[in-house]
Amino acid sequence: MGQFLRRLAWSRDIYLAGLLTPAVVAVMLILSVPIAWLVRISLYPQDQSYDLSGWSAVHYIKALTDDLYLGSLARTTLYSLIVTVGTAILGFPLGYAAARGRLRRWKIFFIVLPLTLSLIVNIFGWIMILGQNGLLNSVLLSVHLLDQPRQFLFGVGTVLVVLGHTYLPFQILSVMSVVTQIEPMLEEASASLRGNRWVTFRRVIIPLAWPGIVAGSTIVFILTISAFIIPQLIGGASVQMYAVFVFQQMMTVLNWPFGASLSLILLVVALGFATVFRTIGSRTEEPKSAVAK
Amino acid sequence: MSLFRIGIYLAAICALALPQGSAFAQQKEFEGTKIVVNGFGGNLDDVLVESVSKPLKDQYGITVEIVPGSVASAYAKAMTSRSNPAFDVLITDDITLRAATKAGLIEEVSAADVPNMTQLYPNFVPLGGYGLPFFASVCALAYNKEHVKTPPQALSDLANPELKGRVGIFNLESVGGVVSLISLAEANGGSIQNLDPGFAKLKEIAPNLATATSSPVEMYNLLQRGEIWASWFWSGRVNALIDQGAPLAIVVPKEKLRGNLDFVSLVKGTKSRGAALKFMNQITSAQASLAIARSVYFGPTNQTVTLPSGIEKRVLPYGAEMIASMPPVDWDAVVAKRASWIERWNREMR
Amino acid sequence: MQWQNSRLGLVAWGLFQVIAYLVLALPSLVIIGASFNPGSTFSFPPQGLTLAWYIRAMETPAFTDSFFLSVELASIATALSLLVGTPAAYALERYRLPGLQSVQSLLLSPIVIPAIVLGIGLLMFCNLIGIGQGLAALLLGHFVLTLPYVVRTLISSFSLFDVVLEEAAQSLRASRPVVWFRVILPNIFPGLLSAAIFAFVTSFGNVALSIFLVSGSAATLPVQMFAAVEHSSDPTLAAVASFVVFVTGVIVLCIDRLASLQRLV
Repeated sequence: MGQFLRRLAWSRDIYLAGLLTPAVVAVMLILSVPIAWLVRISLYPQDQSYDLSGWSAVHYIKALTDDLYLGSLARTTLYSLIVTVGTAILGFPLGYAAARGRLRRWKIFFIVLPLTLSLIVNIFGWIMILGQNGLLNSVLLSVHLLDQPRQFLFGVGTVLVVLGHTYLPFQILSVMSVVTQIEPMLEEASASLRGNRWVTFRRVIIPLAWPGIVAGSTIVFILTISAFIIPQLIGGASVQMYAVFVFQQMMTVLNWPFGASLSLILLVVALGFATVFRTIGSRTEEPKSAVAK
Repeated sequence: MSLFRIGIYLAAICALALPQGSAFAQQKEFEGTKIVVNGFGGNLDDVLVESVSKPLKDQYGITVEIVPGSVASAYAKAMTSRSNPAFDVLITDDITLRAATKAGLIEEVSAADVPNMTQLYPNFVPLGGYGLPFFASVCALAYNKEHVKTPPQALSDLANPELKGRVGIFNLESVGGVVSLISLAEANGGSIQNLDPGFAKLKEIAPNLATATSSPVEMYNLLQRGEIWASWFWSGRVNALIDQGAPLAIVVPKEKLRGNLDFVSLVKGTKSRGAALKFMNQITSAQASLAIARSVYFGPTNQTVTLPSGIEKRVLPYGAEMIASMPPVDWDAVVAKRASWIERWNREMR
Repeated sequence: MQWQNSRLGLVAWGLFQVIAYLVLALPSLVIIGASFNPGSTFSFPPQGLTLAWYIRAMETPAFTDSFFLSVELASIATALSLLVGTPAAYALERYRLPGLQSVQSLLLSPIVIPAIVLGIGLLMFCNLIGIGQGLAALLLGHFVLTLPYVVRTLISSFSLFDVVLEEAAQSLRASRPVVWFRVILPNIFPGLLSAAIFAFVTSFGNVALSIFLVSGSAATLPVQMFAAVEHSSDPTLAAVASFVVFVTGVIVLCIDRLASLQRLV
């Protein structure tokens, strides 16, 4: 009987559930109050942060029907997808080279470098680079590609570039960690079968590294769609990303119910995309062996 | 020496020695008490430490803990910690003060609690004992002398085509931006109830805008680097830039100057009420007002303060006359309407 | 090797990388340059060289205290996330049950919820359980913020790690702990490293959430910098940022050295 119970206790399901439990319990515990508060406060009819009572979905209706907010949500999603795809395209070769190439330690240093710069200071740096008195203009003027300084700062393009720049390291590292796990033997095998580089990439590396690419993209997407500091400071007057509205409602206007409903909508959209990414990223075949069959 | 003289001297010596001896054994009134205040960061916090925290420590034994962050985050913290207040004294601006008062976070103080209250300019104490102002600031015009050929004299002059792409203004997330818009509207036939003229002028300025930001830091940086040549910005900050050598000039705009205030308030339910009141008294004192004016060029709120001639002209607002002439702002109306103004701004300035 | 295509291709490839890394490093280089500027403005290139701002930064207890606190906090948060997140990622990747998608969403949610909202909510939670602002609150917040990165990164790591190896070990009668420490962990080491880096830099650099959780005696470096920047105008901030860059560089190089040592063992 003891033998049977022991086998049962060690059965795969319970084991896996046990592995998962600490994380789930911890997160549910810690997030319980924040999420409950978020949901409850979004359902108050009032437009302020005190004397709240009653139930109403009026803020959700506004957020989902008012073209200012709906339009912003659509635009923000589009911007996030652009940044995600852009960083995926740039990040893959860089991550691959970092995993396989030489000078790995230095590459990691340069990849992590932008992540260590505090956001505010990072923005100062960009002002110094992209401003009319900045580095880029000085360089372009001195090689006569420009005859007048141009304003590179402020505007959608700049925001997307800076967001991409800020989050690219996440993608590179994600790809790098996955490619490191791919046996070099596989690439050599492909080469020995006279496959040129592109075929190897297409048929061997990318499919194998795909989970890493998608994991990195998920993180980049989530970070971009909820970004508000960079769009606020580098966007100027015209870039209106969704999370900036959340900030305005929660911190400036102090309309917490409306801000909370905007937040929940953002949460649902972002997690929805994350789920889609996960589906794209999962491999339905049998997990590949380390040695090519 | 006569016996009488010796006696006098001895008595004098005893008189001197005794208080020393008893002071030695005497405890400071609030020894060991700590109060928590939300701070601003940087130079302003340094001034507060020098002119408020230090004297309080020396005189009363109070330890002041300044928590870095923004006014809005401090409000949120206060709102979520009512039963065990995170702050003993809350520092707020025009809008947050009213929100905090309405939310029931603040306890009203009287002149008996905070004697220096009576020294404050009456114009500056709109909510009485709910919030005591400790500095005033104005959003004035600032322009770069080297680059701007026709200096702007009014806020609406920022629409001058000469300034294309070189103007930075505060948006409505900043209390300074709100006040500027109201001034702009009123000078063109509008009012706080009807901001259409103000928005119309904004549309004229829009082509010149490099950015409309809520961050004083960003504005400061952009002016400093010559990225923008004209803006409406806190006069105190422009003065700081001028001190550093930036070729800027401040102009009091034709549209009437309106002031913004920062307040201290007593938080309801604080466990260190006595020490908190001492803090409020110290920060509204002439000593602190003068130190703030000297260091960051913000206007003193204490009537008894006389600024030294060197900075007298540079600090805005200053002087009973100027302060009396500043039109009041109906902040309650602002609080009620700002959300819709911001939405309108978002729609129109896209 | 046969497939080293053309010389030109190789040079172009190398050039591409150099440019890419230069662009990645550009804002940092500009800030580091500005930190040496003798004038009290942010300018690049610097008009001279001085260490005055670094000295000033080191004399500011707000910066030095918070620096150490941030390092401590990031280390503990990273360690906790790795400890809790690794088994979770394993289960999520190996356990193919439909309901698990929502579990993964739950574990990802902390980085989707806008920091302001999370901050206020966490503050409520901390007040409820009686810990208020301060180090404990920061720890909770940073743990919950770094966990998603760890989980998401390791899921992809595990998906590449062949289950065959584990099964082989088990068929050789290895117990579960042995399978973990001798087979699984060494093979996903790059993923662990990546996840650790993500977690550490996220925690160390976090501003938006931390503003709500700091107290006067326990503040993180980014929050102090955020506060200082509102009213200070000199390159001390650049010096602080540059110092952080330098220290992070050292930490990363150390971790990587450790990693290579690990491979030899």
